[in-house]
Amino acid sequence: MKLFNDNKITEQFWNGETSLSEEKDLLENSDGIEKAYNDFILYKRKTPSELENTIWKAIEGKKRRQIRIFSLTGIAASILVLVGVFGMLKYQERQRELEIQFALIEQTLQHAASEVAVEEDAVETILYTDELITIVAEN
Amino acid sequence: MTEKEFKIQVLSLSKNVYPMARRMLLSDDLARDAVQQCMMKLWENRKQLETCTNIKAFVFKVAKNICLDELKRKKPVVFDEPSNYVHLTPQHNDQHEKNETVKIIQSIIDQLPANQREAIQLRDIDGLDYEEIAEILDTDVAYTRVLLSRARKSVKEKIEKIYAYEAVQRQ
Repeated sequence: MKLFNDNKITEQFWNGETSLSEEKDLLENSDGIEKAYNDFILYKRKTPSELENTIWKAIEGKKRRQIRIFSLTGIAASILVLVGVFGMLKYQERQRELEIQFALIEQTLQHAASEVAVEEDAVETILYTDELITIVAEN
Repeated sequence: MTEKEFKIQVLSLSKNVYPMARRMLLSDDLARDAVQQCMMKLWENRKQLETCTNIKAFVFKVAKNICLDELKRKKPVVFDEPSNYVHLTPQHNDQHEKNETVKIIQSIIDQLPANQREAIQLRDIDGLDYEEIAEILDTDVAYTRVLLSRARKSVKEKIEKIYAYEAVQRQ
């Protein structure tokens, strides 16, 4: 290791007048106070090994969880849509059945009404009448 | 920002941000969690990073805010010493000496005014340039230079005093 002997740079360093590259060069190749200071810096810069990988794995894990949640949400939404469509079709089918039943009843009632049609030549005698009702007798 | 760009431009800063998180939270585990939380937040908002002019300063700011939130949420825990500095044996004289140096310089830096302390740590430990430090400290570059200059001069004077005292003691 070559020792740094440039006093001017050393002075500039402690005055805060050096660039990052000058500081790196100075601290790595100095003795005395600068070396002690460099030891301190190196100690403080220590980071756990595999820090980036651990963080990236955590990010990927979260990404996967989000994709799973989106997928499950998508599936749930699809099921809801299908159930909705199926329900609507069932409702429409039931409405159609009711309409057919109603039409049949209507037809039957019309037929019955025509069977018991009032004779044209029947004589009507008013038995009682007031503001609300009229009682009629047919002969 | 693509996955590859994020890894190169942002995730690679984890190792730079970690020492600051550790300084603030005084715990390896909390610092790791804070850096992880910071990177996750940045990944989720990576589109915003594309318009960011100084990504490094922005990442440090986000990490600092996360650490401050963590400090508000929890009480500080006891400082975790890395194992290689805790269990010293007579064979580890050099290591022991380094350990002592670290403690001395740390105590000197701890005695500095808060803004000077932050400036010197951001510059010397985190390796940030003046523009980045100024952005993190919400100040201008000229004042950042002043802060760093004062902090370094003060640190140098105190280290020199301690070394001189130790030299006298040895004689």
